[in-house]
Amino acid sequence: MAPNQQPDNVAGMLNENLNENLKQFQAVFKNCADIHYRQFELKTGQQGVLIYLSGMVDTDAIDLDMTRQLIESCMTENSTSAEDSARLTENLQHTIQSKLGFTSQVNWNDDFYSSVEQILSGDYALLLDGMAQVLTINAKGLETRAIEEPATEAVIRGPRDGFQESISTNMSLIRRRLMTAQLKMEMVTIGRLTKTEIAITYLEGNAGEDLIAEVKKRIGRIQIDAILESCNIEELIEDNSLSPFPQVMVTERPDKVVGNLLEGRVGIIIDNTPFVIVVPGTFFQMLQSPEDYYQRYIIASAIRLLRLLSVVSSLLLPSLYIALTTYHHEMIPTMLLISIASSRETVPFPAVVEALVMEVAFEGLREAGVRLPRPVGQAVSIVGALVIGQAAVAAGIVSSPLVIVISMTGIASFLFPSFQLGLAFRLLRFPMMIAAATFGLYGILMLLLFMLLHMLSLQSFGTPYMTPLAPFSRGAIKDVITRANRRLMLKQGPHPSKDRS
Amino acid sequence: MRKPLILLLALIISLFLTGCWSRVELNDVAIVTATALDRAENNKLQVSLQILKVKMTKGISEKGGGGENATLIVSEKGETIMEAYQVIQKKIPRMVIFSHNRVIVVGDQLARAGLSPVLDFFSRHREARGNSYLLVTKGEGKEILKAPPNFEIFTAEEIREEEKARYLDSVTFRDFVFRLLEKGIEPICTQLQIVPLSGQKNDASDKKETGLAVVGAGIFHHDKLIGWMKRQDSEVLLWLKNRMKRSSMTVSMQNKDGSTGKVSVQLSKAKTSIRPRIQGEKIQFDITMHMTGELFENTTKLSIKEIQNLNKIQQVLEQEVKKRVTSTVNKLKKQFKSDAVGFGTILHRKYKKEWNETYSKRWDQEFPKIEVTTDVQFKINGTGRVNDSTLWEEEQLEK
Repeated sequence: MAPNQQPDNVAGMLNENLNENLKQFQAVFKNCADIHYRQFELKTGQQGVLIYLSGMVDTDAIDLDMTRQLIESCMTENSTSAEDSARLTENLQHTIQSKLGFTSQVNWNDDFYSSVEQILSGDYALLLDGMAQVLTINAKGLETRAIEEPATEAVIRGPRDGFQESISTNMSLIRRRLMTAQLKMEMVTIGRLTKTEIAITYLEGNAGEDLIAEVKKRIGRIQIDAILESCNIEELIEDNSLSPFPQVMVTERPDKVVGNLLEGRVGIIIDNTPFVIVVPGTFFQMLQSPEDYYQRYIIASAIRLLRLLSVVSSLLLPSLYIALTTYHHEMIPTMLLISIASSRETVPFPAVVEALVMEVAFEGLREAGVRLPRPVGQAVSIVGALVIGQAAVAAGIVSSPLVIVISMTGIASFLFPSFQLGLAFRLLRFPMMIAAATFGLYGILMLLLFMLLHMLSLQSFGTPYMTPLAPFSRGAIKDVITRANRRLMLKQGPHPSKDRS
Repeated sequence: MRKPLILLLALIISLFLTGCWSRVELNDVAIVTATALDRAENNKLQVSLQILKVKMTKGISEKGGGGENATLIVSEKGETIMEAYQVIQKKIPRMVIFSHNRVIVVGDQLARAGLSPVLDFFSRHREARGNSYLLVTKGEGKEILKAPPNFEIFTAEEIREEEKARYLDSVTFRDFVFRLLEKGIEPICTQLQIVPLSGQKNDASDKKETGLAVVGAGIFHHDKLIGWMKRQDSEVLLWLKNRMKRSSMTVSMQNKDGSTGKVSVQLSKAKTSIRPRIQGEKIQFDITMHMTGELFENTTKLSIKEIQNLNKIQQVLEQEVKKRVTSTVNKLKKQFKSDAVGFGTILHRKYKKEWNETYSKRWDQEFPKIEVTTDVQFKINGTGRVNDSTLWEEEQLEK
């Protein structure tokens, strides 16, 4: 806490007078309804206070295990008049260390403000009269959600557990998959007000030293008041914040994180969000679903090919439609051209306007579906399907081939395993359509080239974005376009980022 | 800060100033599906375009067959194709595009006068396709376009399908030009006519039902049509060029008791190799053909079970093929004096030096003098579901 925010009547020093200490705490926690003070008296007649935040600590632990034991055991052997605070403290310390079966972390704080911070993080503090120290005991008991299946990354076959908001649970979800001392988790606290705990996790030996150092450096650089979600961190550590492409991978799945740790990547777990960041993020990594590795490899390969196709079609399908129907009639097979032409006959708008209107309507529908509560969302989709799909075509305002194109684009964009990458392609579709409308295929090609140049120049934590396609790695490519057989992958070394360093 | 902003603005504005100049919405094009070229009086050309009325096509698919024709025939006369085409364009509110023109039909009068002047337009025009089929017809090409389609939405599609099946040698515009330019082969064109679908032409009751059919081939000398070949001879051309897809042949055979029966086979494969030989002044071509077919009809008394009978049929078929080939080659040599098979190119490949030195310049004179020998091997590799004909009793069969 910055000194200028201190209440005036707080000295910031602990002394042996319990009441004075208590007053200081009360001044700091003024108007904090969730702070609780519980006074008690030891057998010796010594006064004591417990300070804790309700809802943050496990009250059972306070009642049953610690306090009772502490109060009872520590005071029976003490003489009735223990004025000497040093002796008392010593006694207490001795008792706690040797006699009590505490599993919790226990701290002796000489500093007032550090004990305030401990209380805020969910410890409870024990103050005794005549003791110039504060004993803080970790008994965090936050209410958390159960471990559920991740909503954004469901699988047919594979583990169903997903991260949740508590960092300690999330860490344990990773640890239980990697029971090795090689798995490191380094804690950092970020956010002047939120004091958010962040764990940098990696597999020692698998992740490159440079990468780990770079991640620590970038996280250490962060100066911010509040961290509410992983995106706050993502924006502050990514290489190019002007790019539409996500440069870190974000996932809710522990198995995905573990798989990436094994490949030599670094995970960043953030408290209070179920999303874990994995760096470096590469393009093809974001096109992979953990399920690819849980299905038979031939089928998984076919699905990967389908996914690549969907990447192309989600980006290009509407713009190709515009370019072909307005500039390159000769490229459409005659019979197809005739059927497109005949359904376009009554449409009063040029193809671009038609496509843009439909795309915007579709995106709006999609956004509405995400935000609305589920029962209402269904109503929206019915309205969307009926109004846009049926009525617009029947009224001759929109041609039916375009509706097909837009829905195929929509389906293709749902195939992205990474929602972030899908968003990038959804956005890029619009400039692509405008390029197609102004320059035809030439425009599409130019924009594609620009896009490719940008993607090739992108880097994420020192790894080129298009790894392993460019720079080309023969060993890794078999697991990019298709999913290689396990037997083949056994020979594969650690992540290419490590080789290069 | 100001400068880059202005620059960016200028860039964005310039983006909207350029582009779009070749943009034509689908609602503003008139799709040409077929072109007919005829000779008009005063040495003029008559260009007829079959243009799709797009709004009609929807009616057909939705209402299950409208009575009205989905195409519009527009024709105009002019000194050149371009001239006529420009006049046509002025008659039509939409922009005429040639990129889906699949068929070019040429009337025989124009074909006899020479195709070169018209070929130039189609090879120069960026929209015109090399793979449009080129056909000739006896009479006016325009009439062909007018024929109502029976199966497809427009006739051009029907013609194209028929050409694609390659019942007779199909020629695309590109093929024709290539053959025209190559020495030692003369171009040909499929002959397309309107035919009554059932029976004789003078059958009054079926007058309305007509279809388009490929009936033969037009034989060219350079770019001029010089004559027609009937279906049977045109098929031989297909065999000799190794381009046969499917064909059939019927021969009659005498039974032992003097009566005759017929044998029909479907030809499934015809593999021809032609080997040239120069012997002094004489140029000889040895044609070797390997044909396979399946027996489809047999009204003779021959028992197919017996291998010697099969051999006998095969021999008769071989004779027949040989006869047909000889007759066709003789027609080309004597009647047309046009090397439609491309014996010249075959000679060129084998005797490069001789060809370049002597024959290439006077192949027109040399071609009628060539000698051709034919050797045919016919193999029947199937007799259908039954072995012996059901027409005859077991005892009647010749074993």
